[in-house]
Amino acid sequence: MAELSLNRVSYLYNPKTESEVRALTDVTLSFPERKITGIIGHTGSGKSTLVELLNGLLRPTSGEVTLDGENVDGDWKKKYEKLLRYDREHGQKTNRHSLKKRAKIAAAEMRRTICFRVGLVMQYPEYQLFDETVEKDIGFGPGKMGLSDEDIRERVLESIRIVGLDESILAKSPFDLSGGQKRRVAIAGVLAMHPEVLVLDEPAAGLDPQGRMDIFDCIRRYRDELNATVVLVSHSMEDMASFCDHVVVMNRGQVAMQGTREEIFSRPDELVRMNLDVPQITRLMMMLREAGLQVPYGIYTVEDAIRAVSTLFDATGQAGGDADE
Amino acid sequence: MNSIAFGQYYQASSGIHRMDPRTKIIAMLLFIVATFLCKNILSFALLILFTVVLSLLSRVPMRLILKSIRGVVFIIILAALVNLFLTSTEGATMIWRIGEWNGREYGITQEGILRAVCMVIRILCLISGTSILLTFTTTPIEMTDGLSQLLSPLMKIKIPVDLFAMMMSIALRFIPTLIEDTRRIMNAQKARGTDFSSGGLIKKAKALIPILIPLFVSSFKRGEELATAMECRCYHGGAGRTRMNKLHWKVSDTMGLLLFALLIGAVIVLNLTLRGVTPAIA
Repeated sequence: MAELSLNRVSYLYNPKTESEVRALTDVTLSFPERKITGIIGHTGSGKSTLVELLNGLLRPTSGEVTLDGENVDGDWKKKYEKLLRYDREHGQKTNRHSLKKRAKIAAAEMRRTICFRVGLVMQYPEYQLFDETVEKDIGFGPGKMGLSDEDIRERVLESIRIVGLDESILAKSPFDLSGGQKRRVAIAGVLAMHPEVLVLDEPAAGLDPQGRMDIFDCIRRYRDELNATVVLVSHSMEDMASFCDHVVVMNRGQVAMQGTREEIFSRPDELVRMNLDVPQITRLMMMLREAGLQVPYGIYTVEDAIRAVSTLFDATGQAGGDADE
Repeated sequence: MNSIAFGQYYQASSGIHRMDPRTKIIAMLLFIVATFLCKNILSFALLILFTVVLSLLSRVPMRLILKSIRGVVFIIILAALVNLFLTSTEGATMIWRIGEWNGREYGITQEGILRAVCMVIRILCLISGTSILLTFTTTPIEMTDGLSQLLSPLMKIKIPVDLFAMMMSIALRFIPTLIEDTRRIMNAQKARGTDFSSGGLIKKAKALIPILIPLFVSSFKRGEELATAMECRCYHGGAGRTRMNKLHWKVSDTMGLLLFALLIGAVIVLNLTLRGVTPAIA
């Protein structure tokens, strides 16, 4: 169980000062369990702020972020109110003092564990590497969780396998690795904590196509092996189209669209209006449609496009020679 | 990133903002000399008046100036207390006698109070005056430019002033970048379970390692990249380099400097003419 959701969340940077900036307005979202949800948006749409709210690095100015119904920012007052409400609804006599105590303990526990339960891979995570060896670096997070040395070792081995690196790398210094390897080691450092929800901010930024594929493969492998929920922030529509089950489109700090990728990419005009790219292949299909060809809506992978165009050819016989495809 | 107002520069359009940074640096020195020359109540009054006029001219909100004083409140209180209690009591009018120690009387005297008050005024004027002249109205880049120009005669005796100026402006330029880097790395390590707020001193210091090492690594990398980029554009030290923003000495700059020289003159005249008339303060 790992139900991460946002309920009417707003976030202001520097509230009540001259430099106040509204980053998020009234965002209500939930991330389907065991699915890969992509968050996409133009620069400044509030994606990165959203990500930092998910594991309590930032506290929402209003609204709340919950994991399995519990507030993630570890504010005991909110928990207290919830307990009070529960008691009132169930007609129980309330001992305010013990409720307060319970709320404080629960909130402290949440503050301690939230980072492990919602694993966040920041943008350019290779900057977080610091330890002498790859093994120690990956083991840093599990060590903070208070695991035994054998458990840590086991998790290190497991996550290095998931990210597709060789065990021989464990004894090396993280600073001697190549860029793509560093990135994967940094991701392994988060995977080793076994987060129920894995959040990644532009995990493939700045990598070559093969590197991108590798990263996405290891994310998918993690999801499949540990039944985790994945939240992926990206501005590459191609990644979204080929990789995500659900897509959330952010625009000016608000949720503009959300749904399955089929639903989202069947509305390319709206995406374009929000200054977002549609996948290149979808754009090509739009152009073909404008040129008067009867290609279907909702094509966002090259395979679908090939299928659609070849059916079109079959339907029009060999006369469709004027289509450049 | 801009939320961290480095050097507290306050964007506004005023005569003081437009002044040549060289003028402002010299004027600041003159102003500091003037604050220390003040020896009687009238010259302190003049000093206060001058500082207030300066702050009005600069269009920096009073709130900000007061904020810059907040940082030195401790020093001000300390200076006041020291002057209040340790001013020589010989021949002074005792108000509250504390006692005798090592053959010397201790207590609060009229002179002590006067000295304490004047010391507070001196420090207040010093801090607000210099911050108006420099930090609030001069960008750090302007400041390095002005300083390197002022010190350029030192090049004659082989001191590489221009290189120092380049180093300083690069350092200043990278402070916001470093702050942003620190924030990012801190967040990344927090996300891996590092707790920076709890625990004892040693635990807290240990928690800094995962931040400092990546920070050093990325800074060195940045430095290397910058050096390469500069060399690619044929940077090879200062000799023969021209400037993008040339500093121009204007008539108003001469006038401004004259005004500050006048302040010193007035303070000295007041000191001389009022000797013996009003109580002298240190």
